[in-house]
Amino acid sequence: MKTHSIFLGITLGSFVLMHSCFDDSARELINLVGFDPASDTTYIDLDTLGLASPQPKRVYIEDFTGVKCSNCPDAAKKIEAIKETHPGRVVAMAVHAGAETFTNPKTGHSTYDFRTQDGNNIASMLHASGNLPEGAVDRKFFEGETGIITSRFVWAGNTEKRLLESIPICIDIQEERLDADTLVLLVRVLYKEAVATGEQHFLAVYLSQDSLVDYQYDIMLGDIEDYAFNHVFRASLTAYSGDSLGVANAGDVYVPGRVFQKRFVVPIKRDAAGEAFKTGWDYRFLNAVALVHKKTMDDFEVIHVVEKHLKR
Amino acid sequence: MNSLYSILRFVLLILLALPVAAQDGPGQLRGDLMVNSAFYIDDPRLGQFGTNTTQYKTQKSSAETWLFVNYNVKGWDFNVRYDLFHNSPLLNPQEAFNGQGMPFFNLSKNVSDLTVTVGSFYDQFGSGVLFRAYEDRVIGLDFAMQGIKLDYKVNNNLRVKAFSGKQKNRFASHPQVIQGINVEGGIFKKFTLTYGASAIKRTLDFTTDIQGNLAPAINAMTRENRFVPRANVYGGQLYATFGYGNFSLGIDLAHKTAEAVFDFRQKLINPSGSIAMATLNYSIGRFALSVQGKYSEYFAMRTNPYTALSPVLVGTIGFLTPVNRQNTYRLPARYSPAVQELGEMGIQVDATFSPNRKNVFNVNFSHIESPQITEETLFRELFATYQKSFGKRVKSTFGFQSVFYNQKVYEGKAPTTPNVKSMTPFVELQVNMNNRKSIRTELQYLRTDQDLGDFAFALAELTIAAKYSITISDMVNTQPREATRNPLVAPGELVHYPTVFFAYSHNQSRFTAGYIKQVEGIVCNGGVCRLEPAFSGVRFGLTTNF
Repeated sequence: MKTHSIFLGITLGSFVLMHSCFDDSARELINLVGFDPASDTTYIDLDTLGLASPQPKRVYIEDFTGVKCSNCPDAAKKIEAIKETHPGRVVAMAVHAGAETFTNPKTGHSTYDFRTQDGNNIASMLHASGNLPEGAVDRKFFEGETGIITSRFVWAGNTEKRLLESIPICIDIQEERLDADTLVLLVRVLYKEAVATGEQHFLAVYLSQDSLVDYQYDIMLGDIEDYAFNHVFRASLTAYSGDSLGVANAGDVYVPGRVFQKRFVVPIKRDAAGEAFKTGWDYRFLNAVALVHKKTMDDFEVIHVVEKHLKR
Repeated sequence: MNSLYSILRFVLLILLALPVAAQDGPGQLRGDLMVNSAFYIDDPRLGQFGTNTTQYKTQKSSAETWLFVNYNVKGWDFNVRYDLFHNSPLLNPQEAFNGQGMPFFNLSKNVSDLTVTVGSFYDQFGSGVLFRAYEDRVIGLDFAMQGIKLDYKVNNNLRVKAFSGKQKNRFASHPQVIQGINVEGGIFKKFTLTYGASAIKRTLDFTTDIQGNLAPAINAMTRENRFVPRANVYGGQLYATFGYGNFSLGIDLAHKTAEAVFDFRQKLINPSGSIAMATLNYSIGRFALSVQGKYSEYFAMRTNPYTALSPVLVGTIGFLTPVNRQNTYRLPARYSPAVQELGEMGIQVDATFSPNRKNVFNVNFSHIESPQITEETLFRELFATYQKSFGKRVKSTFGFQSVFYNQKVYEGKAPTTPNVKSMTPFVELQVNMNNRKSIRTELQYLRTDQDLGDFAFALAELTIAAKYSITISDMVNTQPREATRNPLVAPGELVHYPTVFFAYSHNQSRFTAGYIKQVEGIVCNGGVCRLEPAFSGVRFGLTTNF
């Protein structure tokens, strides 16, 4: 019995000993007291409200795609056709996320790796299946569908429906600085109309990039070595699932004149030595996309979206 | 390159073995082989979406092989396993994975009461909630560890185990380091008491996990939600089973320190975790009762938190015991709950009464909720059977199952997907015609207004001299629901899922071949589940040992 007690004591002691040796090595990486724009820079400004021009509703199409997905070029064409039908009213985002069979870069052909952790997180959040191509229009659960994620064949019709919606907000993106090293963005959301009590909104700001030429597989054309990729998702500047637009201890938050202001300082991502594939970030072809959306257990609906082409 | 390393490892093991064998005479060589192969026949009318994985469009066939070889000589054990995956959907149903090599190899030696193992190993501490390294080929799991393990038998009633290693990941390993120690003992007198204690530590990879993933994600959160992620998580476990006469009580308690995990909305949080389980068994005369309770919150031991977001089962270090009955009949097993890592609160009661040898009654009830995920009930099952023997040659089972199944949570379906409520009566009849031939039949009917609607299932299996067996079955979607109807299937049209399966056993070998059509569904093994796509095609199998 004594032996039993000794060994039990050693095991429990090792747990207690380990427990007392907490590491704190990541502390310097976390900004615990830094800028928290969503809560720190919100105010009500009726002057801004009076001066702001109304914005028409814009629709956000998320296209989950991959370089080895044979029907994805067709999905991209469908999005371009929708954009041409509704000039200036549609914002697209090509998120390279899904089954690895479709999204892995092709060795010997691909120069870039377009996949991102944030992109994968967005796909998971929306319950994407991984079978590409697939996508979402305004992250809206349309009647007759089985989920937010739908096939490319219904995107045009769903976009038409969404364009009829009225919106209570304006979104403004200002580029304060952009060079090869750093991007500084100021994003503001202005409420022009009151929103129903109890509704909660989130702001997501993403970066996309145009004019990336690389390998793509096409079901009709086979290997395309110089396919032009546009609006490729590169990073999320907020949490991928959006940052809360909230005000502590305020009654009705979303009243006419309410402004949320958020500033982002973003280092331009560089290719790391020794990586098999390049990241391909080019500050001259970046777009900033800001979307305000809902986020509940069953609702990720995008209320409004704005895209700004940065340095051209 | 991996293949080359694998071959070098094997050659090295043999070279190490030969001098020992030469000194002490030949040792013992044994092993086993398992081969699976499938041919895919595209069927766009199957299930709600048809057969839609890459194997149906491009590869058309797949194969998996495992060859395990053990060489034992004078207390030395050499183990290697050759794995082969060609166009395989086993590790990820949405992928055609190709890989071959020897990812499992070890060398083990007994020195008095100490066993030292270096290389790959499987093991578990107690029930495995804190640490379980295991393989489950049915659902493509291989959680082997690669490192060193020491196992010391202090005396007949006490042993100590300790290890340090990394978890195997296909043909490589995860970068995170896992270390642990376990003591298990027992007292065997008028009463019996077996008990154990374990401690585990897991260290994240600082560059990849913290600098690369967690720190940017946390800095992107609002200030009040940010936290400092810790590289190390520590877990401790205490477990004991007390038995006296017809009574036994088992208790399992474990706690882990705070670490970054994703909540149900995939937001990073920093909770500590705990789990408590208790099992009470009692039997008197012809009556037996078992009651099991479980409470857990944020108790998932993983290599890193991002593996929880993976659509593939990967990176699990501990094994969370299910609190529901593990069904084997086809339709009663259709809605099986996966253990929820974020938290579960459940109870299971199982009662058996056998007034005599020819009559056995069994009732099982389980109920599972998860306050960490939803206020809705997750799962509830009432399962009852009556087994009746007619003479020595005829055995029958009559049963009924009622299920409540939260499809949103268990299958990640859309938030408006209704909860499945099903009722399934079933009957099984086995007739032993003589000592060589027997025939077994099953009839099942699943009634539900949700998911794909009603299903009927019938099976007949003929076994001849334990050598040959032929099984014919069919599953029919008798009342398909309009909301989940495949657009290629006319409203009201019946879709059949037939299977013809043949098995032949000879000495230590078993050959199987089958034509199979299978609807999409959750496949579970011990509470670990994954969503399997629909299957249409032909499967071949071979298992043998030598």
